[in-house]
Amino acid sequence: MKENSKLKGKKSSWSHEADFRIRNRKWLGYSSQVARRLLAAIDGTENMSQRVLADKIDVSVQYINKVLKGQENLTLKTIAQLSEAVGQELISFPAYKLSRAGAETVVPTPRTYWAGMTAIGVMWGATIAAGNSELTLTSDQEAGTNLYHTLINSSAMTLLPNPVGGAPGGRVVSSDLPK
Amino acid sequence: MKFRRIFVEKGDCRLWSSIGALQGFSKPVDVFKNLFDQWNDTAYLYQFFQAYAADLADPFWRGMSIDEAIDQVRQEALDFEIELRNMDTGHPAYGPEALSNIFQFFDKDMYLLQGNNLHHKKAKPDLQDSMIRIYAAEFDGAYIVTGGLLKLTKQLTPDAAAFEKAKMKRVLQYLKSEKVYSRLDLDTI
Repeated sequence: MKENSKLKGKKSSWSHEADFRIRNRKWLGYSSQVARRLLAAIDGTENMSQRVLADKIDVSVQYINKVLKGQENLTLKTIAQLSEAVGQELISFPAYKLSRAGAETVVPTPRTYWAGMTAIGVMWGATIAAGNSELTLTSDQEAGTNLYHTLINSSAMTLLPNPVGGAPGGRVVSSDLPK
Repeated sequence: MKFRRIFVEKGDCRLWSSIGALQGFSKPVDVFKNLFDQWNDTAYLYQFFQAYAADLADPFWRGMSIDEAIDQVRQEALDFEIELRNMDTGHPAYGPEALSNIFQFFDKDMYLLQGNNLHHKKAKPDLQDSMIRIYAAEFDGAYIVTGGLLKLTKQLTPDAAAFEKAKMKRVLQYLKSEKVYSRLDLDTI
């Protein structure tokens, strides 16, 4: 047998990285969910690329690349900036005890508000074409808002479908953590 | 050719990674670490499953979406990492034989007695219909990881199987040529 050398410099860094992934699996799962929605948004939007996205929110392409790997601990501010840049919501919030009964997932942002108004415009048989819905709102915004919430609560609208398809969220982890 | 310890808690390491040249990398890569990097990389998985959407559409996967496939690989990788870290850190649920239980023969029975085939091994997570596969050359009771992949088809293509076997053979032949016969000497290479 050859003389055994010191272990220093001979270890794979995997164990260190695995421990990090195990400890931080919850938010890494969230980060992956955001990443794949961004990837789908970039794929599905004309003239959108990692470079364009980086320029829009004033970060480097390298940073966007890391975000798309699903390994960045994103701030809410960054998520909001990314969301505005791609014109899509990237996260949603579950209903809670003060929500309307039956509500599932609501993101109370101007974007979904206007989307709701588009639907209302169609339902009312408005004379303007759907898609120009912002023009319809000034007449009776309060009634429109109420109808919008009715639509949301009756699940008439599906908010934030996963663009890649399938149910959001991962499977439950049942394994024991390492000591 | 170089090797790195995957298990780091004890002097006598039974799980090793080979350091090899991989496409897209300018420097030799820690093969085992790279596999788990890929399986935790959402952009990589997104592109992989788009490229292999036809395989994912096979009835075997019961209509699994790309989104669900990404979730599955991430979950398999996490479960596998937890299992391997538990083995390394001496979790009481994992005895000394745990590693040899997860590494199975790479070849089917009819090919086992040919050449070094007995030393060609494969491992997968302890889950039904798992996608993750890790390939390793068995050497003196240790496993040297030489490759891995996401398996979406029932059988590996002959080219893919030959490619993985060639890497295992190369490692074993190299150790023989260097007159290394003990896993305790892998540190010195």
